[in-house]
Amino acid sequence: MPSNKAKTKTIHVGMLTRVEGEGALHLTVEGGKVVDLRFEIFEPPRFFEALLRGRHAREAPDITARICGICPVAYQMSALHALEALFHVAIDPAVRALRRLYYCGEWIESHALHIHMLAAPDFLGCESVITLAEKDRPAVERGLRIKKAGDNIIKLLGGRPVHPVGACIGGFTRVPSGAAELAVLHDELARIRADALACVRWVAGFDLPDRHLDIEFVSLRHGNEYPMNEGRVVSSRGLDCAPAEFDDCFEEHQVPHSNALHAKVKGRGPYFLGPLARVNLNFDQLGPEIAGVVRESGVSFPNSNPYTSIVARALEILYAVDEALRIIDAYEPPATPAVEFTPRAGIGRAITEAPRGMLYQAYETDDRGLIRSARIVPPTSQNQAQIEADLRELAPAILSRSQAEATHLCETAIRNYDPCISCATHFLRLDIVQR
Amino acid sequence: MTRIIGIGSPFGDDAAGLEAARRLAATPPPGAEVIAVDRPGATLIDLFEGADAVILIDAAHSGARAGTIHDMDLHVLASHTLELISSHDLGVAEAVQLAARLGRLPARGRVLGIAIASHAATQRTGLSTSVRAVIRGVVRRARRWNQIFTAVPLARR
Repeated sequence: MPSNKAKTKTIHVGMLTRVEGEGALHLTVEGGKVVDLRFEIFEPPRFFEALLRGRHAREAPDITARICGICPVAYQMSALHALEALFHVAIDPAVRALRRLYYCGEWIESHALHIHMLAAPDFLGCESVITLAEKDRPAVERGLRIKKAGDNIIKLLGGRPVHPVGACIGGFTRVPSGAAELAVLHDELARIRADALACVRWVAGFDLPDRHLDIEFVSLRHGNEYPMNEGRVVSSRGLDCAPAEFDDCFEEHQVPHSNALHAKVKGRGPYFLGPLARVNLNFDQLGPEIAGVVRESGVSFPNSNPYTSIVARALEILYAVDEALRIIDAYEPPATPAVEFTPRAGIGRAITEAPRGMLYQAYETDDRGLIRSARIVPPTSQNQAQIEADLRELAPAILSRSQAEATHLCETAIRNYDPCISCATHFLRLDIVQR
Repeated sequence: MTRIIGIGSPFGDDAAGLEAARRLAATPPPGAEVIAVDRPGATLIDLFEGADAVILIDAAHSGARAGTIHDMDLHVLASHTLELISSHDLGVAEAVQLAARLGRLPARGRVLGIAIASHAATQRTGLSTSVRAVIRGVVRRARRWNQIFTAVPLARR
């Protein structure tokens, strides 16, 4: 076994697996110290911001929904809230509730996919979900049932589960006519509630590494509810600002090895977005029943162990199922599916909580509502610097491991963030160089 | 009932499966349902539900000359990986393999893979000449397989 002190070791994972998109990791360690670490996003830029220029604001939700096949609702929601702020559109409370239901659908399907298909194999000694299905078929079946329920919510409100089209400025293009139309969905959600609870217990029982990091967690926080579409931006280090003040609090910068911009808290450094940040900063909003489930699980929040992200994700599935049931139970159709709006010139900004964390969008339009500029800051691009900081901390512990083990440990650490590289612009190859 | 599933994305030759489904849907084969799906990932497994047989049509990075048609048994794909294109979550081959492990693969099926050049999925809009030229052949094969599946019912167990 090579001595960590005298040698330089390079790990290069040329294509990261079980992540959404295409990326690589390059790590060089010299004399036991990390001298080069690059989490590389080489998926080509997709120029959505430029594509939006000159299009009518009305087209933004359908165009942005094309950014991601897993989290299209998030792109629609941030776009709509930014444009509705700009055009002074006040949506009907019933539409507000339906949008929350829509977002519950996306959290459920995205989290269920990530837990069962991508992350769980890491902790159960399985190469992939296919080998997991051989070892624990009921768990994988359960994951597919949960995911399908989430897909069905999106299908109901968005017309189809992938790249939905139903949301528009002022509301939806159509809304359910009454409780009867939601009855089948209600039954399905009530059925998979037990699956969601079993999922929390399942992941909380994994042998998760106990590794705590010095992290600044950032998420939205809302006074009355667990954050999805609205709230202020808060952090575990005292940050508190309005979504429109994003640029006052955060800054983006380019790095040579990534096609997605990195981000940091101004005057500080990397920050952590996603389910663990949300649960840490909004635990009180999950309600007493879920708090009870957490107590029983043996995992406590807030905590700074990124491996507990999978538990946070499962808790959010359970919350989203309960919240979706509450919304359906209380549903009364709005007076009109979408309120009218008048375009105006100006700038609108909004942040909503995508499954992977805060998604910021800003639009400038002219007085006809044509988009003059668009800015889209996805959660994975914001998490890149934090992922690198995490791996830098992990590196010394993996140097004595085989290439295969080191790669596995790096990929597992990266998957805690459920990076969606296609959104950030795709994911992992690993190079470790040790000299 | 046979379900014919054209798979792809709107980009370049990756749309080959969608184009084949579009032509088949114009005159649906007797006893078959034709659907087109954009990168279904794990939801492909749900699309097998209720079908006695499935025919999957998708673009493939197989290393063969662009326009080559790979015609293979679904259950062979379940145990052997041909790299089909997918940008998100599970690829088609992985979804088929997972469905097999979960006992959710229809008893019969074919996979019609259309070989495309390695970067043909993103470099243009619309199909390349070599891929467009074979769509008619793929459609013919899909109709023929449907005839076979429909004419020769599986023996009831």
